[in-house]
Amino acid sequence: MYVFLPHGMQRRALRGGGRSGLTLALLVVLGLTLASGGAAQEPSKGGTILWAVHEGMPDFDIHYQGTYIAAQPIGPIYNGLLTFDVYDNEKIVGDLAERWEISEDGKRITFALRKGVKFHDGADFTCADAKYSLEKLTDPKRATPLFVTIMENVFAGATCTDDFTLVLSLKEPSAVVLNMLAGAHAVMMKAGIAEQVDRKDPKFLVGTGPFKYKSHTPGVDFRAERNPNYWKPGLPHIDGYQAVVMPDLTKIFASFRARQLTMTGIGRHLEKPEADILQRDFPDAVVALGPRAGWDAFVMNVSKPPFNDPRVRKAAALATDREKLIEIAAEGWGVPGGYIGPHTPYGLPPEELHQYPQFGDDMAKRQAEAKRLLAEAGHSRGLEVDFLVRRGPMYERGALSRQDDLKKVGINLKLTLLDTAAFRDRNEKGDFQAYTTLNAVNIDDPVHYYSRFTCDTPANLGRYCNPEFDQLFQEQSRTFDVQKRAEITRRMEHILLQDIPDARGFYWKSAMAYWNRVQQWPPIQGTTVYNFGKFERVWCQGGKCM
Amino acid sequence: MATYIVRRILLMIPTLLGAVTLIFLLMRLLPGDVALYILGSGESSEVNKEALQQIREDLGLDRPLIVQYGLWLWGAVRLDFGTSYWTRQPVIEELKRRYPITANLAVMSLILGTLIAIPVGVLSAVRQDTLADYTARVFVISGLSLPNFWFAILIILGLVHYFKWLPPLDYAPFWVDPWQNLKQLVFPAVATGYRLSAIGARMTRSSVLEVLRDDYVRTARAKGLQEFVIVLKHALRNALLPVITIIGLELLTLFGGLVVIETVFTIPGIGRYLVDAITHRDYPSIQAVVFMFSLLVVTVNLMVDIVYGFLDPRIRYG
Repeated sequence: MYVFLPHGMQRRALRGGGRSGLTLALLVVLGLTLASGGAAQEPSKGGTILWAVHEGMPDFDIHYQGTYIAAQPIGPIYNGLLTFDVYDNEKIVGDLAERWEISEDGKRITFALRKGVKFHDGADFTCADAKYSLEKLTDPKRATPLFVTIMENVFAGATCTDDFTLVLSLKEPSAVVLNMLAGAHAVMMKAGIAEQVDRKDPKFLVGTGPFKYKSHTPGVDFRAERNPNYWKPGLPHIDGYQAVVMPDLTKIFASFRARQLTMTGIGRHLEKPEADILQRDFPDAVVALGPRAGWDAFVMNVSKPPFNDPRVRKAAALATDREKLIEIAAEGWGVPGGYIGPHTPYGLPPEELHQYPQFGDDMAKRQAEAKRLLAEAGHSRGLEVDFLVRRGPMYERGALSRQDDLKKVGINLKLTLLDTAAFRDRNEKGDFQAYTTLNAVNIDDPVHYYSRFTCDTPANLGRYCNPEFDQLFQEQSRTFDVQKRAEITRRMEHILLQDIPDARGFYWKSAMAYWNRVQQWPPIQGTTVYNFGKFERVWCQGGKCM
Repeated sequence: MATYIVRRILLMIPTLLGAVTLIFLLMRLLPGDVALYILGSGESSEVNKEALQQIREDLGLDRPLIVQYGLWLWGAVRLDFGTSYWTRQPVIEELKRRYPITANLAVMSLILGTLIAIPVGVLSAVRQDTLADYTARVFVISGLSLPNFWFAILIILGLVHYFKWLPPLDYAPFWVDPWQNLKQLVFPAVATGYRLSAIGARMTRSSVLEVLRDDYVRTARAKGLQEFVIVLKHALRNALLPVITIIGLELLTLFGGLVVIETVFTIPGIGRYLVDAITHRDYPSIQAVVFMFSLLVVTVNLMVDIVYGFLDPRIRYG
């Protein structure tokens, strides 16, 4: 069975219109109802969910590990203060915090913590644990730079006024903090755990979440079982889960077809031809498709020739045929966009995007303009560019499409294929003229999208710097109101679309498949790869998940 | 003879040292940094320089190369290969856990390959230039020319498409659950054993053909013995010596093939461990696997040399 949630409808819904929101909700309900066979059913208990991750996790600390290979298997062991309601447009709701209040100046957030919550080892969850976790998230030695770069600018301190009241003090108002605290990585750990237990030791995994650690075989699998004392009565429904390490897409899909896996991956590991096979031959398979907070990047090093010249960057953007790129690289599963996910409330609508020449419909006109700009920049005879490509079909196909496009205007991309380790090494050192890869954010917030363009941040590998942009970056991060924030991000988009620090091709869509015995699986949204609801409400018909 | 053996054993030491030194240097020449991986191999490009430096210090990557090399070598001679940069588990524990799986698969491939090679080779020889021979030759040429990873993928797709079945995900040792073990490893063994069987079949064919033309076979025929007795009892016995030699040598190549097959079939053996280690630039793990593999190769070569020494006195004193 297919449940496709049309991207456009999701995007419109997410843009904030109540009517569109209703449309999305209806679609979701319709999809889930169709998947479940039409009738509301009492959740069955039991069953184990198996899915594939492409490599094993390096350690068990998801404060420290920003990657999905850790977030997916480990996330359900924990709770956060807040969480995204994955069934309701990723609205932020309380998790271990029953409620929270933001002070008028926006510099204090007071969390009323849930009472009676216990860690898996029987200890009570109190404010001391929350305070410890927040402080850990600001420490570069104990947390991923994803948090640290945000928190070091805003975190002033955390205090406990009593065992169940936490006050988070901020140096300045920050709209991203709540989003970050609701994300998959900002989980509440037991106070002192990182000092007492090595992050490689499974004893590190003491959470309050719906599942408890069961076993881990490095490079093979990670297993967890139901927490019988979970503080949400009656949840979770399934007995446990198993994340299986499978590096090869062919094997993942074959294992799914052989019903060894419940799902190909969480928001991952399904390509268009495979979805077609499922549609044709497997009526009980559900294909879920939705937006993804990940894009095909073409990062140019603006600190070096030739891309230190904005005309050359603009020429590259003009020459890129995005429709062709989407067909070749993603077999149609992609959507053009600016510098922030088009599915977010901050993404530019297509009609606005088309006003920029690099998104114009007339390809011949764009090519002519690109040639003119190159000639003006002194490259009338063309130029050669070293182009780093991360090895893998996801990157290589798109790279070839770009190479073909840019050649037409005189930019000859000399491809260098590198494995991930070598690729990252060159990027981090700034040893490149241009590179392509899939970039992503794990929280759909402007701060995460734009932090790679602010001066002097580690994520800014292209070395782009514009003080005006930085000023707006600070301004939007202090703005809580979505509409007002969107007005600022529109101006930021305008700057980037003029300056073109990278000529990104398109935003990917997330696709996965699962068997229709699985119920209450949330719809795919921008960051489903990380935020999927911890299997809390998911259940399997008859207690069988395949 | 004793001097010869001692000399051969002493020669093993520089060979092993050369192999591990080469892999140590090659890995350091490759671009890539395990610390970057540890900080997140996902799609985010945010890396904290401080944390990066801290990891490099923790792993000892900031020390001079010669110190890293010396420490590793001193550990290796005591069979202490250090701790994996990626999993932080002692490498020797990983090797102990994974080698039996790879050995299990290698033995199964060897048995399967041999069981196919000999009948096919014999049939091809005794039915020379017939349809059976041509079919066998197609089998052999295909086995030699098809890349085993491609053949493995075909097997996976074939099993799923026609039987909606795949080998189970969980590994069970043969002595714990033989049926589960067979179900899991028989198809990977087919994928690796196919090439082995092709080589064996080709060697068997040519060897049997040669023997069938010998005088004693002609004599056996003149005596009126039945053809299958002549082939099985007289010809095959003599023809098998070179076949066994070539299959023994191919066992080493087979270990190389298992690196790919284990990855394709998701078998948690030493081959997959090596691939993961290379991807993550996990130097201690790579060096340990290469060291063990080199040890296996030089040991097999030593045994062959000793056997040849026994058989041919000229080698001993050469």
